[in-house]
Amino acid sequence: MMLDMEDRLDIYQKMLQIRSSELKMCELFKKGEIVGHMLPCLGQEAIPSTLAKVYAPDDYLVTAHRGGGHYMAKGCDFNAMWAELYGRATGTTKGRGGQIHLMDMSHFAMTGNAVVGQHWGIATGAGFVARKRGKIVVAVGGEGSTNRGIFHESLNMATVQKLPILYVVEFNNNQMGNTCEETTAGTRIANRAFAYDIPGATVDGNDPDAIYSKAIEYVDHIRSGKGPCLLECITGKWTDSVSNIRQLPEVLEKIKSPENDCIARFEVKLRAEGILTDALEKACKNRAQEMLQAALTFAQNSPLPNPSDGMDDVFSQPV
Amino acid sequence: MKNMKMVDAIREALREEMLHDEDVFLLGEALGGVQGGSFRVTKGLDEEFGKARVVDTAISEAAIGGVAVGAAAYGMRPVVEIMFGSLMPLVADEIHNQAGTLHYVSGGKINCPCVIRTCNWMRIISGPHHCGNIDALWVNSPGIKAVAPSTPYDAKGLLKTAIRDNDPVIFLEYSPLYTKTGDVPEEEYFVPIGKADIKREGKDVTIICYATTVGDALESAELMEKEGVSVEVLDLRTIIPYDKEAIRASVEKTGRVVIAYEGYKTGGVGSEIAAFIAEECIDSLIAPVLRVACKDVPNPSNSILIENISIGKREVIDAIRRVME
Repeated sequence: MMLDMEDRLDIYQKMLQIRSSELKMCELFKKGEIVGHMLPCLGQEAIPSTLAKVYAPDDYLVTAHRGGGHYMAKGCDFNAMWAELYGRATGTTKGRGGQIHLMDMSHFAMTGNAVVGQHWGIATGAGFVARKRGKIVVAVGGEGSTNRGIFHESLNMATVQKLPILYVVEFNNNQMGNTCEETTAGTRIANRAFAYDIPGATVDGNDPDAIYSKAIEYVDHIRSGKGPCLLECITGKWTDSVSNIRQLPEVLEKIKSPENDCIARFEVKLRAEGILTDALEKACKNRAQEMLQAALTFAQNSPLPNPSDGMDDVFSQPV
Repeated sequence: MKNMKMVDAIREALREEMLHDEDVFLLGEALGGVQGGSFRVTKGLDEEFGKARVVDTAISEAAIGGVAVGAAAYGMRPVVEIMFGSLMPLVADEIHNQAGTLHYVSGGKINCPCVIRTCNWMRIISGPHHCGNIDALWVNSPGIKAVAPSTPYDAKGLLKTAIRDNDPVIFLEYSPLYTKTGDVPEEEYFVPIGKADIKREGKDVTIICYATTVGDALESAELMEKEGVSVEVLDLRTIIPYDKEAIRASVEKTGRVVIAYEGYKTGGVGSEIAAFIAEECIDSLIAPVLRVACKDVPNPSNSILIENISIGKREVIDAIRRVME
């Protein structure tokens, strides 16, 4: 199955939204205007933006802590995300979780879990619910998280139970500064699918068309009750965490080179196909900026939490 | 009333809750089939409810814990079994970092209604990896509730409450108690989390205890009665959040406290209770608070050696005599 023109422009718009938001996050962090622990997904925007065309709005999305792009792509509250980055009471988690614990259950999105790999098990639990409710789970994490035992335990259990889960690995070849060559046996993460006798494939994770065609094939398989699939998307992680702000000049360099940049590549493709014009590109970029501006305004005008608010919600009811 | 073993009372609670709510399901190692769970607690439930609701898993504690959190977050009520309490470190992240933080770190928007059942055994010679007790970990883990019943009545009522609770609850079973019998009502009932129970009233000394040590305390109280010492037995039932009011009321009445718990002494559940009494009830005390607990030693696989590190009636009686001096 191929993406139609409208879907591809939607993906492009989401990629722009994520890119402009993540760049602004780095910029404001560097200035000291926002603080905390932040893990941008710059360079990986094609994956969340494309997966949003694969799952339904009420399907479940569970990711690791570099999940800001997935949060945005699923249509979760963008204003509340920015309020969260500013530590405001109106933030998506009331200013408690910050950028690495972004979640919006009104969109079935658990898109922040800061213990690397633990989201694979949680996604597998979501799979039991999805199986009962006729939905699917899309679980996403970096290749660094696939060397945790929980990755194996999850794929094994999901396969035996035929759980409706698409496991997506964002292969950015960076694990706390180590490369796979230094840490990981085997050439491809997707090869591990063979161990479970489930479908597995590696695609160009910077190309929405490549991601979509394999992901939608796998989702059809999953929805038909045949169990999970493993999709590995090769991409690049431009920033580890914004606390390492020295990376930012290099990031801006990468944006200038289309071979590294999923957005620049997609623009070239869309132009060649006559879908994207100068005027349309400008309109899309303006729209991304407008959304960002609105979110920034909302966040900056939102109240800070009261110190005592941090005592609430340890339990669902006071004990 | 009907008289039943604790193992049957726990199974009855699971069965009733599975009938009550089809989102309740069980997950663990060998829960179904011939094994029926590590201690036969879940035996027969797979036949009644099917393999989709009594899920047998690989030996995969991390995934079992992860499933408990994920299934609960997305709206079901998983009840998972971890074979032994000494294996609970294998799900410590899923409990402490995931289940315990989820409601808070989601801004109060995501509930995590899961139950993690496990079984402690201390006085049995299966060595340090099968025996042991780390109940105290959960007392030090915000967002987690933990209960540990001593009777079939409490076990059934607490488990039903735990399954309907919207927070993660650790349900601590103790293997020596599975065969203990007691009266259980025919009609449905619930035991609240966070409420202690005075298992015996007394006026001279309070023994604060839970699970297996409740039996030790009751037998000790019986014997001390003959020496003219009136012993109150306060069964915590819930170790977190523990019942501060019940403790305060009993300490005010007796002024003497022995805390008996079948975990390691240092930093144990009783250490927290002792600290609470020191902070909030010190004016009521007429004797130092004593802890009766296992020695801080890994469990040896030898009956001569285990005898020396574990506790029982003798140690409880010794402590009562000391606080009465």
